Amino acid sequence: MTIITRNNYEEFFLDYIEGEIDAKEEAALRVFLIKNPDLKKELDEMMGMNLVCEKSHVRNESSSLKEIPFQVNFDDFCVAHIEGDLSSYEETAFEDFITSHPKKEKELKLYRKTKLEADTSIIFTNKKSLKRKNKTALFRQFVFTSLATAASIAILFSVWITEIENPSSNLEPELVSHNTSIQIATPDSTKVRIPKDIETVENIDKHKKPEKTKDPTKTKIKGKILNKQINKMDALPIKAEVSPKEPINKIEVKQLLANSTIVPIEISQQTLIELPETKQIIQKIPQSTGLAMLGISWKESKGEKDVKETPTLLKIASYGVSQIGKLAGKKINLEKKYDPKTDKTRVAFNTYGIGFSAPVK
Amino acid sequence: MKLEEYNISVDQHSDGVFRFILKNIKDEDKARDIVQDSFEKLWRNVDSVNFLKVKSYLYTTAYRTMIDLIRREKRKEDFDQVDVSAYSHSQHYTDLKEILDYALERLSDIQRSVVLLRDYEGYNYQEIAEITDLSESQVKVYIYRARKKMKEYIGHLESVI
Repeated sequence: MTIITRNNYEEFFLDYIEGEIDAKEEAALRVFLIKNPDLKKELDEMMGMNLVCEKSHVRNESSSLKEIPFQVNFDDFCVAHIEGDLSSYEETAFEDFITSHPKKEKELKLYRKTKLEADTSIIFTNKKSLKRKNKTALFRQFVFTSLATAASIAILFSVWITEIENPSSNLEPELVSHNTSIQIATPDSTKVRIPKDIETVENIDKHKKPEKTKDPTKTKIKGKILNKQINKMDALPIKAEVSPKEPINKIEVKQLLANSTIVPIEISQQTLIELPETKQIIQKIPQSTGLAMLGISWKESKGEKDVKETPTLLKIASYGVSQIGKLAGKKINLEKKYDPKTDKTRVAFNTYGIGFSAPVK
Repeated sequence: MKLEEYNISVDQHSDGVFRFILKNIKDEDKARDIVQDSFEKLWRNVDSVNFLKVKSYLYTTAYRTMIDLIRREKRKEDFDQVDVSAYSHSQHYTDLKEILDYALERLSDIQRSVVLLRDYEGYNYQEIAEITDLSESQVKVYIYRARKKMKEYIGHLESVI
């Protein structure tokens, strides 16, 4: 058993209070207290410290609220109140304090007004600029763009060729009409020679024939040829007018266009007109096409069935791609890939770094 | 964080970040630039940022970018140095919102930021501390001081009106 001294008596006191010492130790403790009466008072105080748990009925114990320094630190309590920093006990006590002090309530209202509310009308408008796209999607888009560009060029060339084949183009009538505005004056007004490709009144309208034959010297021929393919004039009608009132000393061919409209020509049988200019026009037509730049004649691929179309298209596409490459300052090669499933050869080229734009008026 | 989550973050937080910055610096163009920079930085670190913490990341980035900007421009102004009576023209203050805007402007930068984060976004002290790189107790002190100053300003104006 440990001897009780002034250095370790607290341990014995606590064990005694808790009832955890035996009879011998209790006897030793009594002897120690007789020898040290000043410590007996301390033991009595320790024995009187049995705390009882209080029930927190705030409203019934209003006297305890005085301990909370609402009066001294009122502003802090107001801020803590609006920030939600008060415990439930303090919150209740504070509300009681405000109720009992109406003047303080006004200040609390001012604090409540300091709470800010977000202005939802303020928004970041350009969210699209912040968003990102998937890399896979970007790659797909790139591939799609490449294919689309290749397809566009193919369509472009197809349209180009179609335009050549189509006689109702906007460009060629202008050329033809420009070139065929000719006036033919014959020294012998009675002998104007018209090739057989010009349909005369004789073939078209026989009602007016007698009038012209009455006075062939007063015949004036105004021809309007509406065909750009002058080389096939044999089968084409020609618009022409013949005025029987004037002598046939001047023949004027206004325009040659590929128009299926048949306009009667009033002319005498004896009238013959020569149109030497038409041969020149025929030669000019192929020169106005882009095929001439490739050294290809459109007739070759059009008229002759023996000539295959694919090599010509490939040649055109290669030329177009090479021109694009020149513009872009890059070397672009057409790549041919044979697809055994579809039994087709696909032609494509890499458009990376190439963009097309057109000015918008 | 995935690409989709990043784009969702743009939809969810760009307005809030923009609002927060705009209220602080009162300059739309600069606020927009800061938002752009913040999302740019987020995108650069998109793989390492957790989607659940992206809001905090964005506000932290935006706040620090803004502080750098403010320091560069040296536009600090402390409420204590302002003569409140100079702003006490009742005809200029028609509603509480306007008064609060002026009161907010009178706060120091850090006070304004913590109050805005607290009121606009509902962040707690700890979250604000992380964003502003302050201690929790410092945040609390700044908020308390800011409230008292704003209350003083509002009370003064109301008495004048």
